[in-house]
Order: sequence, then structure tokens, then C-alpha cells
Amino acid sequence: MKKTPKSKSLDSLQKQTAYLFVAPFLAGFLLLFLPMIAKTVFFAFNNIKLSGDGYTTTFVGIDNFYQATMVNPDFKGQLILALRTLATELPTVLVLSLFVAVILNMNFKGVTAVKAIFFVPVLLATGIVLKVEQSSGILTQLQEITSVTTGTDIDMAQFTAITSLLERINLSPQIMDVIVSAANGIYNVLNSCGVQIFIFLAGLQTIPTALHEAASVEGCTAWEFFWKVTLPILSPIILVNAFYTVVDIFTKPTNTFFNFTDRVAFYDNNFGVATAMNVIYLVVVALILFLVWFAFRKKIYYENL
Amino acid sequence: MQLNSDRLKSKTGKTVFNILLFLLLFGFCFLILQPFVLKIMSAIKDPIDINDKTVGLIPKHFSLYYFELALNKMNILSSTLISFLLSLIVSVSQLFACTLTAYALARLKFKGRNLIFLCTILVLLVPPQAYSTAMYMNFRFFTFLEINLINNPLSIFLLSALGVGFKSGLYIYLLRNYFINLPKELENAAFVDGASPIRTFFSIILPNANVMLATVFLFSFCWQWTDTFYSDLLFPQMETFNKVISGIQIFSTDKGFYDSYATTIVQNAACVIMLIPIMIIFLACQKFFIKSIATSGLAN
Repeated sequence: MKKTPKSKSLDSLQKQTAYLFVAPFLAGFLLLFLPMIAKTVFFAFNNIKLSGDGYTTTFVGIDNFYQATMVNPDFKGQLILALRTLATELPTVLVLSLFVAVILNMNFKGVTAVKAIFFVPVLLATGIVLKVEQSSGILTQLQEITSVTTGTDIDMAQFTAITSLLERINLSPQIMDVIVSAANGIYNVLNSCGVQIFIFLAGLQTIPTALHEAASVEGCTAWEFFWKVTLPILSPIILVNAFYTVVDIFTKPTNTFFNFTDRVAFYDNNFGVATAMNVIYLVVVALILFLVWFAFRKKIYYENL
Repeated sequence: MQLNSDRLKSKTGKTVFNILLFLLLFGFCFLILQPFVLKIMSAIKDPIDINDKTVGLIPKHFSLYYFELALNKMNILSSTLISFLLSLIVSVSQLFACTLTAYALARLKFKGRNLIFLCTILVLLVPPQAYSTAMYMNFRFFTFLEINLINNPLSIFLLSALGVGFKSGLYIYLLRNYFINLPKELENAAFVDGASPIRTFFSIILPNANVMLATVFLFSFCWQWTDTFYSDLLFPQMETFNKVISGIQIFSTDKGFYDSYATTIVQNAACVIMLIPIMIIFLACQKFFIKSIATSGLAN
């Protein structure tokens, strides 16, 4: 079909309007996001003083970083705590959400209700609700009010029960520590799973039923199918979920690291050092993410993305 | 190869499997719902019951005393109005910006598409807490005119409408996935009928995507409703729920009991009150919304 000079092909039309479509995002990225990141890095090398009308910056080189790592007594502890939380929560959340997604992919009576229930923490147990729960949990522990049901951390009784039970088996304290914190953390982990379950479910739905039938014809068991078909298809989604979980753990209001840097910034009036801390944190996390990606890149199966 | 009990031949095998499944799911659901049940149960108690050690979950004396306290302390009218306005602004503008970007990334071929997609991933990956100082400075001395945009909804409107708001990266990713899975014939059919890409987008793609759009709107609205980060940073003087609930301090109540935990209970009661509109919306849209998880956005 000859193209007349006046009419355009779909492709070129699309090409023209595409830039219009991404214009808002590009504007935001170039005018808001990038400058903020650049400013963050810039602030990390400066000493910031807020005056009445503006702020003044004096270049101090790597002094902020030096202060953060060598002088400030709490920074290293906070960073290590944050990374340890990440190391324990990330695999737990991923495995649990995959497990739940596989279960919810089944069709049984009441699956809609269960899906709705798993969605509740995503919408409700965030932000201020989480903050209140955490602060009242600490309060309850401080005052040792075990008979008052204040709708807060439910772990106290279970904590002692599990600990005493495990003590009888004479496990080494480290293993016991891990098990007990895993058991206690199940509530936190469950609450962190919502969006990941959603993403996994969406991914599971993309497995064509033809594959199921072909596999059963070949005599494949469900277990084999899971490892040989489902997991490879899901692998890019697992990676995305891993990245999202890492970010999600950091953006929870219960994450103490950023509370700590905020305190340094706003109460100690030390914006420069706080920014340096944030930058160090970002670099460490970026390293970890890069390592994760590097380790698994061969195993990720891309199908006409 | 669905995970179900069909492959177990014996009836007892089937029953055992179903029972185990039921127990597991019941346990999970219990863990998830328990805090909310606890919150509500303790908030409808009378202070006498709180001090009474024989009272467990079910209160002996029903009273809305704590709810009244919460309502008083919450300035319910102004905080609801302000939170509603903020959430609406954020969700509508995010929906707008993210849908446009996601569609272009998913279906329109243009140079630099992959680069822009990488940029959205970057926006997704960097938590806003990390650049909170720069964000504060940015909006405190906005542009070379040095306008103070703190306590002004314009700040978060700009962030959301330009696609770099709270969790915008996630919405772009979800929407992009959804658009990729739409049938490829839609644009071709529209083109043959003489529609421009913009017209195609608004008249054909969007109506097909209304489930996903509703999901993104719901997420965005609810997350902004309960948000603490932007409230603390950009709106410290505005009466958002975050400010109001965090500021609840009860030293003594007029019932005369030593209420050291009154603060806790009132804060939790306030949270329950705050969550009521969200729960109503969620229950109302539930079918619509669960369907989006069920179909994962497949148009058929």
C-alpha cells in the first residue's frame, strides 16, 4: 500500500505523540527529581546554615562524611541495624509473598475474602497507624501492662512462651534468637507482603494455561512444574519485587535509620552531616541491589519484554 | 499445574490437604486482622474495664468514652477536610501523570523509551526519605524567586502531577504492565478508523483499563490519607491526620482513673475513626477491586 504524502503511518504518529505523553514525567524528573538528588549529594559536602531568608553553604569537603562515620556515636550502629533488618526481612517477605500468591492463585471457596483480608494491611496498616502501633507497643512493654489490651503489639505473651519452650530443647542462643525473632516478626512480615502478593499474583496469571496442559501431558508433577516453569517465568518479577521490598522496608515509618538522620538534621541542626549519612546509606543499598542483580542475572529469563 | 487437591486420589488425602490449607490461611488472616479487632474492642470499653484485670477482649461496660475523647482531640472536621483535599489532589494528579507515562512506555515506540523506563525505575528505587533534606530546601526556597511552599498543597501537587510523587514509580510499573498485556489490535483498529493516538488513548485504552485505574487511585488515596512522611516534612502546620493523632496527649481524664495508657487507647481510637472512610470505600469497591487482582488486568 503506497503511503500518500499527507497520511502518516501509525508508527510515526505514535512517535510524535509519545513525547507529549511522557512530558509530565520528564519535566518532573529533570526539574524536580534530579535537582533534588544532585542537591543531596551537594549538601553532603557542605555545611548548611539556615538563616531567616535562605540558607548558606560552606564547602567542607569530606568533613561531613568523617563526622558521620568517626564522630557520631550512633551512626554505625543504626546503619548496621538497618542492614541487618533488611537481610532478614527481604528473603522472608519474598518467600512468604510467593507462597501466599501461589495459594491465592488457586480457586477455592472464600478465596476472594482471603484476598481482601490480605489486602487490608496494604491500605490500612501503613503510615500513621503503624507509627501509633509501634509507639504504643513500646509503651506497653515499658509499663509491663500485660492485661491491658490496648490494640498494640501482641507479642509479649507469645514471646515468653516461645522462648521458654525453645529453652527446654537446649538450642544454642543464636539459633533461638533467629527463630524467636522470626516468629515475632511474622506479624511485621505479613503486613509488608501486600503489594508483593499483588505483583506475584499478576505474574502468576500470565502463565498460559497451555503450559499447564502441556506439562501434565508430559507427566510433570506440580513440584517440578513450579521449579522448572513457574519460577523461571517469574524471575524478572522476583527481581522487581526484591527491589520494591528493599525500598518499602526503608520507607516504612518504623524504620529507625531515617528517623535518626532526621533528628540529626532538624534537632541537631546538622543538615550537612544528616545528608552525608543518607548518601552513605543510599550508596550501600545501591551496592547491595547491584550485587543481588549481578548474582542472579544469569538466572533471569526474559521473554520478549 | 494448579496447586490443588485434585491430584490426591484418596478422599482422606483431600480432606487433610484442605484442612491444612484452611488452618494456614486462618492463621494468617487472624494475625492480620487481630490488631484491628483489638483496637476496636479496647476503644469501646469503659475506663473501668481497662483497669479491671478480669475483663479480657469483650468489654463488660460498653462506652464510647474513648471515641468521644478521640473526636475532641482530633478536630475531626478540619482534619478530615484537609486530609481529603490532599489525598484527592495527590491521587488525581498521580493517576494522570502515571497513566500517560505508563502508556507511552508500554505501547508507543519512540527513541529513548528504555532510557525513560530506567529513569522511572530510578524514581522507584530511591526512597524519598533519602533526599528529604533537599526536598525541604527545594520547597522552602522554591525556584530563584525563593517562594516558600511549605504548608502549601502546591508542593505535593507539583510532585504528583509531574510523576515523581509518593510511590509514583510503582504506579507507573503496574500500569505499564497492564497496558503491555492489552490486546495489540486496539491501536491498529483505532488507527484504521482514523483516530489519533491521543484520541485512541482517551476513548479506547482508558475505558479498558478502568479496573487498574481504580486500583491506582485507591492506593494513592489511601496511602496519602495515612501518610506521615510528607505530612511531617512539607505540611508541618497543616492539620493532617498525622499531626493531629501524633499530637494526642492525655494526662488525666475526667473519669478520675489513673490513665497512663489513655493516650495509647485514644490514639488507637483516633486511628479507627480515621480509617472508617477508607474501609467504607474499600468495602464498596471490593468486588471491583478484587477482580483486578483476579484478572491481573487482562482485558478479556
